[in-house]
Amino acid sequence: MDRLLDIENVSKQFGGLKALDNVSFFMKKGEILGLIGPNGAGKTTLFNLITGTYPVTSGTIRYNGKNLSGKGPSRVAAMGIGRTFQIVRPFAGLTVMENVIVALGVTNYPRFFASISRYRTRETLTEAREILEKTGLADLAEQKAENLPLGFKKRLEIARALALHPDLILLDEPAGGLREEEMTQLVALTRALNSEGMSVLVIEHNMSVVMRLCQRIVVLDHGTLIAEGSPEAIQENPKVIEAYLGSEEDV
Amino acid sequence: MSGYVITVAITIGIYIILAISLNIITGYAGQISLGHAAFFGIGAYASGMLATRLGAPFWICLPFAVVVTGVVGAILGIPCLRVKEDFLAITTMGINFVVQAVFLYVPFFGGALGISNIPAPSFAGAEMSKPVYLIMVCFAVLLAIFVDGWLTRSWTGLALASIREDETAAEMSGVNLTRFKVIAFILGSAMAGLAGSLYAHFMSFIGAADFGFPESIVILSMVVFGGIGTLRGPIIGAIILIVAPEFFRPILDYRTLLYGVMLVVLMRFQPQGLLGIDSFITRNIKKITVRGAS
Repeated sequence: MDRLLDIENVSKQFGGLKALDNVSFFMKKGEILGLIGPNGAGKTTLFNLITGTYPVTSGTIRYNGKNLSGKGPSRVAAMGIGRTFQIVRPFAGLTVMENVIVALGVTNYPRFFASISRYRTRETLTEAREILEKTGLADLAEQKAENLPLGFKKRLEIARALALHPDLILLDEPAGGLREEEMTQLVALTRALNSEGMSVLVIEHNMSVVMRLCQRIVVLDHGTLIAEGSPEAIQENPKVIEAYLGSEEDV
Repeated sequence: MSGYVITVAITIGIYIILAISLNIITGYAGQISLGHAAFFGIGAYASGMLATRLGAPFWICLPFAVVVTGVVGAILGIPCLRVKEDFLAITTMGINFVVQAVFLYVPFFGGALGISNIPAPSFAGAEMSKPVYLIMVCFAVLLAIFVDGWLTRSWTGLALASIREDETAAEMSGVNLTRFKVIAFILGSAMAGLAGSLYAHFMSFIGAADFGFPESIVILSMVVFGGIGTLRGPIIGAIILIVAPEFFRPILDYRTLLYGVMLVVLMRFQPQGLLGIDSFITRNIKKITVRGAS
């Protein structure tokens, strides 16, 4: 079995708060894995550990067999892990096209002399346009990112992540705040990316999106992993139901 | 042209370079700096001291000043890497005070007497005349404009813009924050060093008082007044803020006060500056040109 991402006994402590407690799971290559759990379960913290925003307190995270610990966000991104944010963070003052070209830098301008030469080359523009077409943003290429509606900003974040030529993308609540029709497009886009061989780890609260999208689901609650399995199995798992609805004694 | 006009023109040129250099750090990379005069001073002292102590010719002093200021900019940039926004403002202000104090209190730097008798550059065997000096300053301005234009067309320029817009998102898009912030500090400082060298050999006397915190605010005012984050902004800002007090001689003593008031008013009503992106004037010029074209 080909493992893309290996989370091994990962814990994260913020002062007195244990945000993640000995969490272990893995992701196969080409998989769409759902990461769910109530608010404060540690899902976004886990994303931040994978991308190198914070160091892990203990445990290891392996990507393609390589240990990610000690690698900062820009190096993790360069290794082919793209991410989107729960609250969108496009480069507001830049155009949609420029947003994507920033992230193309890792592959197109890695050396000093390349990085100081003109960036508007035909290859770069063509490549950026392909990514924009794939994400349905081609008509908005010259718009400032701040002027886009939320649904398009979310797509722009995916476009920016794709510019890293990632093997893995981390989506943090991609459906949050979207209309039903936009959600359907999002599911279709994610599926299309997956069929090209990209693996996707997705945090999502909208259960219909999770059930439609994910082949396997991991459930976190209060920083611990409480369940793992197929969408059907997760829906019927008593521990998961308890985490979301509370146990009878609580009522 | 009278000597007076040439003097004012040379001063404008020097401040255009300063404003463009600060704009690279603050306008493009988004790293607020309240201590830019420190690098202006380091360039001036490096050039002036090499000329007076070792008798080096101007054409060696100038590149020397640029390199020294660039290196010091990189070193002083390191403490700035870990701080953001208001803390960065205070850190850079502190750097300005420290650099000025070193000039003032360390005997090696001439102490309160400063550096005097800095020779004017020689050109074609004779001492360079003021008009020729002005032409040289114009070339230096063109060089600064060229570097600026080249930066904004490069991917490095785009990476700096991404850092200004959102550091976290920039990092996650593969932009190495340390590397590009240091590049911005080096480039901005080295360019200020160029201005410093031109200033030293023009004035022939420099002292620590020339490079204090108020001077940093003057340079920042020029950038903000003209329009931060653009090339035209700092140029226009420098011209207006140097020329205006010359027309109103009586207010010359209140220059800093005037700049302060102007900054407050501008921040309230027109934070983009006069000719900044999407400022009142820029919008209207665009409207007129669009109408004219159709």
